[in-house]
Amino acid sequence: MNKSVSLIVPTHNRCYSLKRLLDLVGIQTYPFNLLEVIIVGDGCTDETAVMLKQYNAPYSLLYLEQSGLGAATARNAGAAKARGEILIFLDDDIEPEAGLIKAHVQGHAGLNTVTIGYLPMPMPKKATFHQVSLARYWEQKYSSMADVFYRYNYMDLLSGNFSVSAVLFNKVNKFDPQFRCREDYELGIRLIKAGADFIFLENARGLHRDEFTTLEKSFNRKREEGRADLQFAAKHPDLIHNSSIVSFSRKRRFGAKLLVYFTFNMPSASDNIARSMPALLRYYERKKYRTWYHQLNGKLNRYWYLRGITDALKTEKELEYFIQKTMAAIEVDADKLRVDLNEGLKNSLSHLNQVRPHSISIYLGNHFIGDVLPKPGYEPLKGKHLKPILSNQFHEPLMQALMIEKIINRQFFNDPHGN
Amino acid sequence: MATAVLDLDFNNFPEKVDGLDAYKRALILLRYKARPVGKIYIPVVNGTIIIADFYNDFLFESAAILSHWQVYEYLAIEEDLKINGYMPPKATIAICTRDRPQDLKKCLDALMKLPADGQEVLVIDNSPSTDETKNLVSAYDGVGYVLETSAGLNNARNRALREACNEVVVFTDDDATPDSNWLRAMLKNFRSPLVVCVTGLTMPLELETDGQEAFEAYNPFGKGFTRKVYSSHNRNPLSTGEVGAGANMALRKNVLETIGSFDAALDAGTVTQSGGDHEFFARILLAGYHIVYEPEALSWHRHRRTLLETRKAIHGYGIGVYAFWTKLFIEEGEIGILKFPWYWFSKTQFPNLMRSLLRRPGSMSFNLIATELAGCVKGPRAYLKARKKVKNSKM
Repeated sequence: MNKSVSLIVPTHNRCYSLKRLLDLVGIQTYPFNLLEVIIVGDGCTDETAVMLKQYNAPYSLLYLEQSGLGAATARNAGAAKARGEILIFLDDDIEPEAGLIKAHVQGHAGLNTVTIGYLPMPMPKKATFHQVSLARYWEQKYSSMADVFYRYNYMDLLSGNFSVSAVLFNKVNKFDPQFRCREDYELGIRLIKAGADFIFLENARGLHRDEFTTLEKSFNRKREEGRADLQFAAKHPDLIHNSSIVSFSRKRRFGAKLLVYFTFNMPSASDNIARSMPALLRYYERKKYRTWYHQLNGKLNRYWYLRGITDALKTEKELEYFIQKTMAAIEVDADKLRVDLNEGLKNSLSHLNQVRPHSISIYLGNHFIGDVLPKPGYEPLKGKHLKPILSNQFHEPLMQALMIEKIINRQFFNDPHGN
Repeated sequence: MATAVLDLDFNNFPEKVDGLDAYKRALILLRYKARPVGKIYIPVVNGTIIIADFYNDFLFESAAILSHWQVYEYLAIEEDLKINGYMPPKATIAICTRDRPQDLKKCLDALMKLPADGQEVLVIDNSPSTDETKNLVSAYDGVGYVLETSAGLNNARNRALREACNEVVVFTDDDATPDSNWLRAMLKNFRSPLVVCVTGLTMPLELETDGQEAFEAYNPFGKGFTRKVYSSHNRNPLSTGEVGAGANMALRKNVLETIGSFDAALDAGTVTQSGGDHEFFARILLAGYHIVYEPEALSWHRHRRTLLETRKAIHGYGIGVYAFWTKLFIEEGEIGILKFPWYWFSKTQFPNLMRSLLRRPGSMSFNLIATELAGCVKGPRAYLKARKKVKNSKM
């Protein structure tokens, strides 16, 4: 437990939040002589630079500047200067708890570990519908990772609070600077493919003070996501099904067709309509028309996502061609391991832990239970992943096989009628 | 004739249950390795139940949940969860009571049998007319006594939240008898910070009288044998009847800050008579938090004995529901509540009334439906009256 740590924080005009973060780093339980903090200002025009110059930190503090090139580039620049064995990345709007750094360091078993910290989002009093949805979204994400049986995937790499060894980070060749959005997922998939072990650490905790989200910003973000998902699919074709791109392909329903038609052909007119909608959303919220609010909000999110796609692809035909081309590029790996539960559950599971296959066929003796198909973007299967699959997805066939084989029986009671 | 209430485990069935001469039928809670998996009504013949005769019915009744737990067991999921490292929070058990020392004694006796996990037990004596409760509590070691002079169940609940030392406050009614696993089952659900409330499964303790039978038939507290997580995302946050009941619920102590306090104008001890728990559940969901229904948190509730009391209680439910709807409408501005009276009437109350008039099998008592409807009509005025009283008393 004497690894050197570089804490890298990209920031953009959030002097107040950044100072709060620096203050809280000052009460971390990890030894300061093993810690350096690297702040990368990305086109800051506020008093961030002045504040940092005057800041009297009990740890080594380094400030780099760049001119608005995005968070991915900023993090890479920080990592390039870092001297620590372990890199911890934090966003500037986070209030780290005192044990955060220590928890990350302790989570590293070897060079292959990626630790993902916990960022609970405090529910504001009188939370807006948007804040409620956000808090629910994040909490669901974290609580599923906290589950012991969880199978990690590239979308779990949340760049707000994670750590990786400098060796592994450089081995997978850092963040891809082409991505202004989705850069975290994109690093995530390369880490997963490089065989990294993701691990979620509930005690590497910081409060997520999301003070800046507004409806308009979140729609803007959707648009960026649409654009980034195209880039992403071009680089990693096998993951196109995890994005919403394919959902815009060959629409059958009239309303959806109309939306796609207008977005492609009259973007400025439809933009004007969409831009006036947040006012209607706010009206619904004031009147507490929840259902209408969520319906409209969902539609607007879809619209702005599609708008992001149209920024790069100008016609419906191009989109269709893009999807076809991407799908054609997917390579199918048909390697399937046969798992027989009759070898004893423990043995079958530990066998999986050794082989780590992407796809398996599960049997119980002669009884076929089910196939687990390859899931692009997910870590290879471990024994523990099988448990929720068996108990939820394959419950019926498993139960039947177990009863026929008399491994499970319901004869709790000696029935004289022989039922 | 009455109904016997039995508690049987699949792993430990007797060959027969006898000595039930006073009963015509039995309500059986079925368990599998102590977990509740189903309930079933069966007839009692000559004071005896031969288990073999009904064994297939038991299996049929609980098949889905039983096989869920059996597969769970085969996969040894429990062992993995143990290494999960979650330390549940500590609890304060709060019993709000008013002049019912006999029931309270039963409840306290059951609480004394809970495994010791560092819980605190508090009795909130709500504007009592005698010292009996105080004297009873002093006989129990380590049970705290708090006197709350302002009458009203919701005042007592607020007091309990303020007085409690531990992070979670678990409420039980004084006329309920919690199962030995009750507390642990409640507490294991508080991992997510969004979960601020857990409700449990409530079964009838006895069905000895017509009043108790009528109550159970009309308003069974039990909400099934599957765990559920409720949020404004998966249900209308205003409709909380299915979520659970205040007789068997756990709350994070800090709800006082995040949600607010229980409305003193609602529930027992005021003219609105009930509704305080469901109104609070609605506010929890509206604020974006989640409520978990945990069937393993089992408690046995002694229903009111006489038909008159039952009728009064159901009348009170009618008042309470409309009172809390009135509150959500005038104080929270929830316009959506306006469609609820129509839904409830057209989908439930009116069909029940018709079935009852036509004497369909299994239909409810006409009298009870009518008395509930009469309560509903009074609800809004009752709330306004109670609210005025609360405001005056504060001045």
